[in-house]
Amino acid sequence: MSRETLKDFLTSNGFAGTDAIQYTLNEDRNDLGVDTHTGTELVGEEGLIGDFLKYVSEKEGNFYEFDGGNSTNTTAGKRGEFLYPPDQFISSDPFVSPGSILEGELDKYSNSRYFDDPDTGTATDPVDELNTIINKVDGSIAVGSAPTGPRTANDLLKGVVVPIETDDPEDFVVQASVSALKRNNRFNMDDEFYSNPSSLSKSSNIDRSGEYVPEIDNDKNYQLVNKDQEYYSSFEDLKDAGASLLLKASGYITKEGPTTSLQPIIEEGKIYQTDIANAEIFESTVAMPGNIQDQEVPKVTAETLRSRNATGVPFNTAEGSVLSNKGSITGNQSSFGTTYNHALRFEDLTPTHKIKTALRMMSLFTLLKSLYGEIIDELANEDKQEIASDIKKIASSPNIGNAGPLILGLSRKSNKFILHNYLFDNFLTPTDFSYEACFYRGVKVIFGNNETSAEKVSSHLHKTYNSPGFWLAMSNAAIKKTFRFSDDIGRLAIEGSSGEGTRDAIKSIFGGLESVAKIANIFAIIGEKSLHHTNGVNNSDDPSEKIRNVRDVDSLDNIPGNRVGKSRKKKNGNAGATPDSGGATTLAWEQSDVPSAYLLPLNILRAAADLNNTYTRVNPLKGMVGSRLVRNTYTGLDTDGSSARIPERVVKILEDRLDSEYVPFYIQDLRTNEIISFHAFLTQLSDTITPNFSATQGYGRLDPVQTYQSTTRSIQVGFTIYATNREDFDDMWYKINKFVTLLYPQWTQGVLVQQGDPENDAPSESSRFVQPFTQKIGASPIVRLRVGDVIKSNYSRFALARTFGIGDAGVIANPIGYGGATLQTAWDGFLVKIFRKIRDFGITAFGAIFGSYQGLIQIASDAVAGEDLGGGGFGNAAANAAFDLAAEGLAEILVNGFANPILVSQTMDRLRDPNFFDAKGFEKGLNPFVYLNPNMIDGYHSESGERIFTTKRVLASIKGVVDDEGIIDKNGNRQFRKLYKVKIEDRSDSGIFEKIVYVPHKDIWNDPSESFSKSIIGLAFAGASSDIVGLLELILSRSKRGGTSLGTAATDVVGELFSLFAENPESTFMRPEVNPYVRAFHSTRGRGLAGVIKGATFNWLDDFPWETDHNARAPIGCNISFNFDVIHDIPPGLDHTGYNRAPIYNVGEVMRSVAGDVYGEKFSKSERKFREGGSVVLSKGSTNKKRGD
Amino acid sequence: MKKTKQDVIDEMILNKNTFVENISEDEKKEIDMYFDELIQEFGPMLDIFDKIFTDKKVLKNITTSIKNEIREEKWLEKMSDVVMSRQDVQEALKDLDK
Repeated sequence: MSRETLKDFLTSNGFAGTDAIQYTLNEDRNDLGVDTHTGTELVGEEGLIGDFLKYVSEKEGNFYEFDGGNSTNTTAGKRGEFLYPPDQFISSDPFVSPGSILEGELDKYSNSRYFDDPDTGTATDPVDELNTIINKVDGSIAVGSAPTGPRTANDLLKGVVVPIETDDPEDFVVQASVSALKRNNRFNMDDEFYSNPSSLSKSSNIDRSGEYVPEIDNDKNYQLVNKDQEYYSSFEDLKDAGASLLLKASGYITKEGPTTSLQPIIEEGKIYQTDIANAEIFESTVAMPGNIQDQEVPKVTAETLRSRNATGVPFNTAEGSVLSNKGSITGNQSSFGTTYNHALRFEDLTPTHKIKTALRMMSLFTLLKSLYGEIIDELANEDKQEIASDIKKIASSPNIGNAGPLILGLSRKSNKFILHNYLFDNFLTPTDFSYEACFYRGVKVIFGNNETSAEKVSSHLHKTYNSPGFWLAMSNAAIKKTFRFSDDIGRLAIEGSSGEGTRDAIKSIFGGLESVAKIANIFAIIGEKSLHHTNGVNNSDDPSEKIRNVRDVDSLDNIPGNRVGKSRKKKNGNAGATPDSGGATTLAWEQSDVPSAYLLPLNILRAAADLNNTYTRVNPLKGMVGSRLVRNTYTGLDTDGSSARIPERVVKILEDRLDSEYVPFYIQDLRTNEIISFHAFLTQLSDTITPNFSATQGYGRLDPVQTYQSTTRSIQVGFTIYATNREDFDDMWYKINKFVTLLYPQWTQGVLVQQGDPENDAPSESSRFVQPFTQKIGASPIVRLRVGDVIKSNYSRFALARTFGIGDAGVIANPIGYGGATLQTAWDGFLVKIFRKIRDFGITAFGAIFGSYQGLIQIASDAVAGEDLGGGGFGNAAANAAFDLAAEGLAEILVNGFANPILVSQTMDRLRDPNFFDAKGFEKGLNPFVYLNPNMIDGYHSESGERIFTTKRVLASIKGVVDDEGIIDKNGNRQFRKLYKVKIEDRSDSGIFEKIVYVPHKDIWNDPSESFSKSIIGLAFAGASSDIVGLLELILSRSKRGGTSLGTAATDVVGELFSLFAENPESTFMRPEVNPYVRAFHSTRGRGLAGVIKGATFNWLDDFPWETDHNARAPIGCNISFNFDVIHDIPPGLDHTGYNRAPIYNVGEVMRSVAGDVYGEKFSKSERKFREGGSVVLSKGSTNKKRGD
Repeated sequence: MKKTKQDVIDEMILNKNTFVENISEDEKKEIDMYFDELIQEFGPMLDIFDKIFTDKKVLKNITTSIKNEIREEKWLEKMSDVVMSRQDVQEALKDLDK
């Protein structure tokens, strides 16, 4: 037919008799070239093909006519867009224009529009919505019946019929094509193609009890979706098929071919019931697949997991799938399957299942580790022998000169070393803690959650639980992989006597190590991170503490000593700390949290009220009490009138609080006793002390004679103040304004002027007020500056007492007129005189016994110095030579040539490390009190197994020295080391009070005061000096710092009252109640260093952001610097005896005893406050380090 | 002191105990049963270990095989190569040359 048309076309074009065209591709294969029959171009501009297309379309009456010939596509490239047809090859527009008749026609025949017609399904208006014609889900009408309902796709497919009208072979081709299409269409269940006999149907003799029909034709094409046979005809059937594959993959069904039910086939006789509806396996003790069959973890063949072996697929006489010959798979032919299935899911939050997994992994690790340990020990023994033998050879060789390097090089021959390093270089990841500890910890992190509450589980280790399948699959794989080692290990033992067998086994083990090590490494790395968080401590008892990070400083209490060391405030901080404000994100180092005290005199309140400013306009009370500043505002009846001051007692209390700050930094205004405190964000701190001399030139000397005149001391301070939130910002600006007042004077009230008598006359006739600007300078801005323990006052009552000469011979400082019940009044001075005699003798004796023996020589030397020993001076010269000789000889037995060995040994013996000296270290002495160094790195190992971490020094008492396992020395002997057994006596932290810990010598901190008090010397001195009060205080200090329950205030009061009765008259003499000098000092005392601020600079633009709120457009921080000229309370220097009379740097334990505190407290409350809450206890954990480490 | 099979089992028990601290009694029983099965399952391997631990000859053969492996597979040389190929080592060697 086509050929006839072509013939007609060619004839009409002048090629009569020709009925074919032929093309020949050119070499480039991009041109059809010239038709060999007609000699005409096929695709050129006048190409034959284009003309033929036009001819055909015209002949068929095509409405849209093609242009003749061909034209070049004007768009670029082969993949360019075609042009709009009318522009290129069609004469008229083939597209339907909106609103045209054609559009109406198109709509009429459009399926989409047709199906949208909302018909009712009546005879006159047949149902014509798509779902009434085709039902893709559930066909319910028989083939061939009237279309009263929707037809399935299969039914419709059956309707595709190719009528065979002629014997034309073309008909057969079309028919074959349609048949192929239908055969390969998954919806087609036409009996013609799907030969599943009717006996396969559910109603026939095959059912889910397992019977099968033998006459299945394996050549037929069985399909998974077969509505007619009711296999997989429903969603439930498909679910069953999927479930069966999951059961197979997880090892609960072991049959390879299709099963007829979901009852798992367990060859061991265990029956597992599955309840698909509820998706669970019941009546079963959930067992790992590996446990179902003895010791072997079966691999699942890939064939088993193919869909053709799912439940429901018909099987043949061999119990194989009827589709078993359809296709094959390549690649891995087996798999370890899955851990879980549709019924056994990880979402079950009972912990047993994962614990079992963890147990299996850990047990295997323990096995391998034990084996490795034995092997490595044996290797080490052999290494030792071999290396020793080699060393002997080297030593006996004539070329002994090179022995050193040779011997050193032998270490490379250590097989233990090589094996160990090889493993860690190639397989095992290096870890900061032992690999073993890291691995165990990692397993615990992933699987070891011991909580049963689903809620807790979901909150704990949340991320792990988000991917349970991954971790379980991984552990499963690890377990299974490790099984391969069992064979090799078995060979080690069985063939152990044969070198060759052993060697093969070893090779095999190392060959397979990598895959196992990869998984073990993951656990070890996770465990390592976790151990870092707890500093290597395994704390397994308390789930809430499980992953607690000891370096989580924010968990420390909100106390002054911790303030700037943390970031955020702790929720529900301890009572007694500065009252907190703000939320959980409030920074712990808010500038306003460090306590200040501002005076708010009643006069100011009265002024606000007088001016009707209570709620609006200026009212300082409103601003201070209505804000967080209320914490820092001091007001009261005592603040009325001129020269109001914050009471001394309040200053002391506040200074005690500030003394417990991390670094106290504050300025006290001595005019008002206000205290402005800051965080010590210091940018500059320098101290310049300049002595001034008057130089006088002397005759015959080049250097002038320097005559001392004075010393000036100037301090330069720079610091940053920074607001951390808006409230802090407001507080900061009040503080800055207060600071500025320290640069200006205090003014007097001014001159009152009066008209009439305001008390009695009418207001309209009388008035009294201060004449404006009549105020004069009343007080200079003298302040006290405190910066840490570097810049502070050098006043102490002791230093002042020395200026009274107390302690000097001949000074008898009695408190004249003092009516107290002191010894001198109670005993009419009798006892006092005796005590004084005893003391004088005692001190002398103490000096003789414990003082330097060189002093005795000096005294003897001094005694003869004034006498003429004859010989015209020879006698004196000989005596001096003898004294020199004696002094030199004595120096040989004295410490440093002069120090009394008895005195030195009393102290130094204790300070020695018992591991290196025979002296007993701190053990020696009277149950000595010591401090433990802060330890936040490893903590201290406690007797009860806890680890105690401290940020501060902790008071403790030595209870003894114990031997602890130390290291193995080069000879293989274990070297025991000595640790102190120490009882923590620090009441400031109740969490660790009275705990027993083991501490190495390096972490013991000697307290000179304690060291002295609890020594023979201390007792000797107290006895010699008859210091009854001192002895009492010793007892009280023990009770207070140690084990009694006496409270702080109570012990202070008791001590003070007792002192009143028992103290020496000199002590009474220095009481402020008796001594006006002391009283004067006390009126302006403070821990800060007195002086004046000269030249303060505020730098507002040093990278500080600005607040932008109304009346707050100012920086949120500032750099402040100032110069401070010092006015010492007691002029520093040496006293007449040659001792430092008032040291200016009272820093450290020694200087604490030398210089003393301004308030002269017997027991420092500030120190106690400072030490509070500085420890973290990790409870009941074992540790990966030895105690004392 | 040489390890024994029982030492290994004891260590396994210790590890197990850390996992069962906070679970219910029933769950503990279940874990204990499982653990017993596990020990039984590991029985043959434990026996092998016991033999290795106690039979000096077997242990000697194993260590000899390991030493042979070390020598034949040139473990030390391989490790040296790894170390020597490190950039910091190379730089240190260059410094030495200077």
